[in-house]
Amino acid sequence: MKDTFLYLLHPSWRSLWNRDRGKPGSGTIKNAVIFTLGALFWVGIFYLFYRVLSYFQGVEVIGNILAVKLLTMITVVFFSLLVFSNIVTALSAFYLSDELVLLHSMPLSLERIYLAKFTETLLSSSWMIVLFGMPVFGAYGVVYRASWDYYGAVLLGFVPLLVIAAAVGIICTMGLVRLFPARRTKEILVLLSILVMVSLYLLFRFLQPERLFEEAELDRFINFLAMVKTPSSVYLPSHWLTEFLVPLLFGKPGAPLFHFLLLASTAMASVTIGTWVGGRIYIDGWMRSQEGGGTRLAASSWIHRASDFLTRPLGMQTRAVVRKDIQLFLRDTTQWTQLLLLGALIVVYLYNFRVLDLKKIPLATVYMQNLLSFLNMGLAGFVISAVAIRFVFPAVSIEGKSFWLIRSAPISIERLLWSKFRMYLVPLLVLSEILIVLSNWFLNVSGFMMGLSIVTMVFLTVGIVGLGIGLGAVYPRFFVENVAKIATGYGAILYMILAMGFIALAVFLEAWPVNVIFMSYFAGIEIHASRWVLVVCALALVAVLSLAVCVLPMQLGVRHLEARES
Amino acid sequence: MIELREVTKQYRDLVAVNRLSLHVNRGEVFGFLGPNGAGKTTTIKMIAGLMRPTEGSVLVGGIDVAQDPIRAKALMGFIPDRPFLYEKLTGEEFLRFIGGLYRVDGRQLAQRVDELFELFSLRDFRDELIEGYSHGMRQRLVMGAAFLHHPEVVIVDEPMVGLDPQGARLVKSIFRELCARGKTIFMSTHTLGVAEEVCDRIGIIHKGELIALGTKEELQQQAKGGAERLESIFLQLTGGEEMTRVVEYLRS
Repeated sequence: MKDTFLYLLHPSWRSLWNRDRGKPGSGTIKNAVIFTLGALFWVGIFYLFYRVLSYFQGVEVIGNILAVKLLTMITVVFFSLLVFSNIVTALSAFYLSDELVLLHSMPLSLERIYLAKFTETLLSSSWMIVLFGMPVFGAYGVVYRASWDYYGAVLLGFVPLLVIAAAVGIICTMGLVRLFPARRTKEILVLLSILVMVSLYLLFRFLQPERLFEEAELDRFINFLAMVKTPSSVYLPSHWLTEFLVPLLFGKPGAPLFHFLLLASTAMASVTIGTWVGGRIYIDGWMRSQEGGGTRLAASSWIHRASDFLTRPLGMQTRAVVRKDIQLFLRDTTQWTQLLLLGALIVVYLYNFRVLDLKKIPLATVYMQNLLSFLNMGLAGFVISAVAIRFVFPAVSIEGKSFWLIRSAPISIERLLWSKFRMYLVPLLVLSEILIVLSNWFLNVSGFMMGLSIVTMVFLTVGIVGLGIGLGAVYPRFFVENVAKIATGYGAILYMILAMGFIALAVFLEAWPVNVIFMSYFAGIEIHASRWVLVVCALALVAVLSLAVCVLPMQLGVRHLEARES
Repeated sequence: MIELREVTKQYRDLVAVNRLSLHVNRGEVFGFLGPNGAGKTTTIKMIAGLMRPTEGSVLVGGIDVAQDPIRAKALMGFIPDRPFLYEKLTGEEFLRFIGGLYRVDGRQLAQRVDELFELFSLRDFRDELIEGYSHGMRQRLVMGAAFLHHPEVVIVDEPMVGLDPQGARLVKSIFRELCARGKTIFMSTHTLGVAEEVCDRIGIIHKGELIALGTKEELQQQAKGGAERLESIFLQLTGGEEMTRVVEYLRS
């Protein structure tokens, strides 16, 4: 064992085993939540495919052909995803991991390191795709009442497919690193993968999958599937997997053994070829990645000029803080990926209002529109909080290990926090107003509701940003490696709970007087001036509440950071 | 024991190490000094087999590190300046893993692990996860890992960083003891007092070139004005002009 490459994986296994050591309780809850969400997602995928395949089964003549076609498309997508995932993972495992200096300083053969890293890449890049791919193949088996041979074949056929995808991905990575620096390549690929994911998510939403539950739409889907050309080739391993599974699934004649042997022999050949290629080019690439080479940035790009212009009205210290934060934000690719995901969330949010068919709801439409507009304020507030937890709450924590610089500079904590408040308030205010105006426009609400929503969103955003900066300062996490992790701590959860409470309270304060006005309007009763005074009072209360929610946590944050110093 | 023959390392336009030739004898503690960016870490990485020279060769125990890295590395223990440790392993699990890589096994490994935990005052922490170790404890653990397989040559990059005075004293005496047993130590350091106290010979590298080599007495002779302290010799050889400019600037 100690002489094999598997021994090099020992620390990873052991680390996994020790992961929750010394953290009683916290790991269990987190694991339970993740497990439940994963199980729900798994069941959802299974149900979707079960429904589609059951419908195919009922279609005469071409039903099975469509099912095979869909299976071919799925295996092609799986194989492509696996190769891409392996390319990204291999960059970390083979070139960027800190462990590599230790391993390369040991008397270990390159072949042994290569095989260990190959296994690590294969496992970490494939497990999730396999896990969430299984309900798809499970649904095929259940719908077509396949025998146990089929399930065994799925497991048996997947192993060589994963090995081939890993070998191809790793060889591609080794080639890429010969041409480009490893770190930059990884950043670009991660961004690209998020972009692809977001596009797929948007595409999926725009296809309106809920319509598949209507028979007419399923018919249209079948027509589409029948026309579309399957992007497969007899030389692709995904095709061999399909050819291996189809005879067992439908009890049709075929050559499953031949295709399985093709898969297995290609997998073995790909490992051998990968090891041979690795032996020739890997170590040179790794040594080059050690040599580093700084990234040169243009001294004065348009971004610098724009941030200079925008921050001109601010005081010198505030300006310095804001400009530094903008520069760091733009250079941190983990922030970009979060931005992309949130962008997709917002587009889908607006799209849901766009496709909302109010005519289907059996209530007075004008009343419904305005009621929805009210709920929309709460939902928009929720979206802004979701953005704020990712960007505003970590604003203090991202000072990180360099916080001593701020503390040793002649700038007060109070000024620092308010500088950050101003920096985040402006973009979030713009975003919240765009959200509320567009969604209200799609809902076609009255002018009164539009005006009320616009003013309310200003108050809500001020509160959400102040609460975020303030609590972020009370619960700073200066030493996390990944910025995205700041939004998952105890302080972040508390922030989200408080923000939700604040939004609910603000909406509730306005809901009652506004509802009274609407009810009077529908009943044809004249609306007394005192009713309008109530609305103004409610709005004033919301304003006071928002200011309190903004200022109090900010002061608490200032005190906490100052006390931290002493 | 360590031999560098006309070693050059070039990164694009920058020559980090230029035609460096050096011979370190068995049983010698060799100090490798130089200002920041002089080429110390690059040289150390080439000796440890983590980088390949653009030209020239590095031999450890007569073995060319680039030609036969595995045999060469088996003779060495390497302690980097910013060592990587598996945060989620305990100290003992880490040492046992390293033992496996160097083929130290069974009772011999258990005995050696006990010895090292005792030697580096880590016995009470052997079952704690490394993520809970202080900087100095990590440094001591890495040293333990480097000494675990009784290496013939120990390559150390900045050995004293993060160590308390007790730890520093311990490391110095270990180096002297190893030296007395015929082991060779090659260390780069900024702590000139340590170099002065521990090293048999010192090499000073500046802008990628070896500008001085010898015992402390020999270096005193090489420096103009007969400076006595190593710090004065070092500054005279590497940073005299810069220091003068700084002093003049401050005066103005």
